[in-house]
Amino acid sequence: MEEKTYVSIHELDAKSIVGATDIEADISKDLPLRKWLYAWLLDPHIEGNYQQFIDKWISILIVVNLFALLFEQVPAIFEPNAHLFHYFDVFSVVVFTLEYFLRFYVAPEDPDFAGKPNARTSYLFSPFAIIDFLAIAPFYLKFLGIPLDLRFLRFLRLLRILKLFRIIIPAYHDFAKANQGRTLRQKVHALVFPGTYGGRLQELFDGFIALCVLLSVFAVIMESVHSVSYMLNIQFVILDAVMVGIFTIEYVMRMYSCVEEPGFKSPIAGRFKQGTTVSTFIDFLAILPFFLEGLLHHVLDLRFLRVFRLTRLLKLTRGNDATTTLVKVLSREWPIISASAFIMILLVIMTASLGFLFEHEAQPDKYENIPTTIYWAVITLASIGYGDIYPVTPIGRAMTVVMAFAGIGIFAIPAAILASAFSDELVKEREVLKADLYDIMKDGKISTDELDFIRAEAKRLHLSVEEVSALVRQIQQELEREANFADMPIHQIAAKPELAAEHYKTLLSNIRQLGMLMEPAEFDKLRQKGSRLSAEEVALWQQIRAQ
Amino acid sequence: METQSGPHAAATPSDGGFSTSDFGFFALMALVVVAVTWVGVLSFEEGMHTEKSKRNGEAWVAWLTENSAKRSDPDYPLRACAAGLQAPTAAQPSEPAPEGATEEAPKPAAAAAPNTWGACLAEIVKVPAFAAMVNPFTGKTPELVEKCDPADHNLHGNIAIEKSISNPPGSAVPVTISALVPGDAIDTKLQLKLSICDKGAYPIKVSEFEF
Repeated sequence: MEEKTYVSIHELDAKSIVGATDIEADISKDLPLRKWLYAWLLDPHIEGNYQQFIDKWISILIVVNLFALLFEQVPAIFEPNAHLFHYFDVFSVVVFTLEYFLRFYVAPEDPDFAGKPNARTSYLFSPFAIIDFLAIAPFYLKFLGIPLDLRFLRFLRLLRILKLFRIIIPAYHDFAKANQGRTLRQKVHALVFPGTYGGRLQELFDGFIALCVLLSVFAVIMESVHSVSYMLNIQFVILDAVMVGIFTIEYVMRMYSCVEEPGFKSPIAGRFKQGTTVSTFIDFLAILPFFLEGLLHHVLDLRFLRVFRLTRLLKLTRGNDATTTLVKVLSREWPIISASAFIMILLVIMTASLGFLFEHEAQPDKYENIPTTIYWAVITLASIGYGDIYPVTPIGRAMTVVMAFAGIGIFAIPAAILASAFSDELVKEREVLKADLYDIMKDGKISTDELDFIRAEAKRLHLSVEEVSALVRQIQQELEREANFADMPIHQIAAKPELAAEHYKTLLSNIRQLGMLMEPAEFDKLRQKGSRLSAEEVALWQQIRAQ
Repeated sequence: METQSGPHAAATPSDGGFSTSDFGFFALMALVVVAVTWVGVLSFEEGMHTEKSKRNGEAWVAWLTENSAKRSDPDYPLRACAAGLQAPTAAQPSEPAPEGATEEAPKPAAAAAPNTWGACLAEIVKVPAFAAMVNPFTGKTPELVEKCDPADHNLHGNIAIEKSISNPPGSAVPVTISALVPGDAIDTKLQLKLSICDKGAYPIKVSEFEF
């Protein structure tokens, strides 16, 4: 285990807690150009430079290149848009070439090559540089008119995906270092569950799953477009199988390693508990239709299950806790929501019944019976008003006016309750965070683990830099005031036993000081003269002084 | 939602080897990969069958579209499919098939009234390209059915041709689509819609065209 490091509360920076990206890099303008370029664009150790930004956009470009390569295999997409594919290829190669030459130029500044006799030659023959070269070389070979088999060219272009290793390999090394000496299950746990051991690799894993979710949901949506699904039916089938494969592996990894989570320790009961959590159940729903439809479609018509593939989108809620807050708010406000739902149902039935009563004779085809009139009642009360059914009799219209006014109020109640409950929940959670911060900060120092906790909570509650800053300042002030608690109101001192004890000691000390500093004979004379002190007070005074 | 992995989560030191549960995990992972691959291959094969059925449907559309203009020629060889030559004698205006009705597939040879779809179909199926056509789901020649019905899985890979009739202006529904039955007259141009039945016997529209 690594030794714990601490940060003083006075050095606590709200920007670094929230992860604000507007930290300005501390790079001197007087540096030589090569050093300056390396520091600004490629040095991973300088906070606030453009290295992460460049890495991110290069990764996105690589992934888009992969998709472009896949879509090129579909004549229906490629042929009408061949010129766009070509422009995109040119753009990608230009970006990758710039990156390649930049890295070549600044190689002597890179610590990996700086110590070597010829840094640039060492760079050229490094694995990453060879991958970078292979990513751009096919384009120039084609450009130079060298005849190459198209399939070979495409294969070489596919190698661009290897450029992602520039991000994955350092993340893997950090992960391996952080998890040294840990069991396989703990490593799997670190990879799939957010925590302190996962690091950048866990973030990449989460990002990869999120990308798969988005791609998969996009495919499900596009499958409903006849012209697209007609062209790409087989590609959708392959994509779905690959995505389900990935999601199933993720599901198994999660179920296997969940026993490392606090509260899920038991091998069977813990896994069962994990399987019944909302997020894991969503994971299960995301893969189930594939297996059921694949195996049982000869016997049963299970096409309706396909819609459950859209639940994959809910997998994205795992990171932001929105579902938990929603469930918490709904369960807390359930009595009020159910009461308002009951009133809504009453109003709908009453409106439908009155509508039927007043309009049936005038429009028997539209206001045929009460159940069919319920549709009109809901559309009217919810202020949708399609206009396909409307009252024509004067009394029917008058009743509709009254009911519509009532509907506006009644239908708005649940929305207002939920909005206010959400707001309350956030305030409550912030209060809890404040209490946690107080506990963490009261010893005057914050460990890296505690800092991680604060960071995660600030992220979960969507706190801005200003809010975190205000919270930290408020707690710092409270702690300072506590250190000098004599100024605190007595009820605040009484609320904390440790402060009350300290205060008591201070008071005793003050009494002793008083006794030492004043003239005892004068004091005795004064107290015997009048009735300023009672007998008990005098006894207590003497007792304290005697000690 | 997930319980966050706490900073104080226990980390039992490991000697780098694998425990029994690790091997169980590897076995489960292998099983999962095999299961996904197996179901994936099944789905892929079914998908390929659907693709082949679409190609069959496209071949029908291509032939019917190509012959749409030709069949007005006086020397058009398939006389039963020729347009504008002879008024139908036995043709009765067909009614749209009632919902849920399971009618027999049109039997080309049985409906031989001249200038009707039945007579024309009897000649079309003799065209070598259609005679050699294979329904990838069954391995037999694809049948022309009135409609794809998910309740009848045996229809997968078959072809459904429907006619589209324009309704008078102002109607709520601009066109009525109904099954093309053997007795339908084909002496004038027809708007047709051709679909193939997928693995679940759901229709996949191939094209709408004029014949």
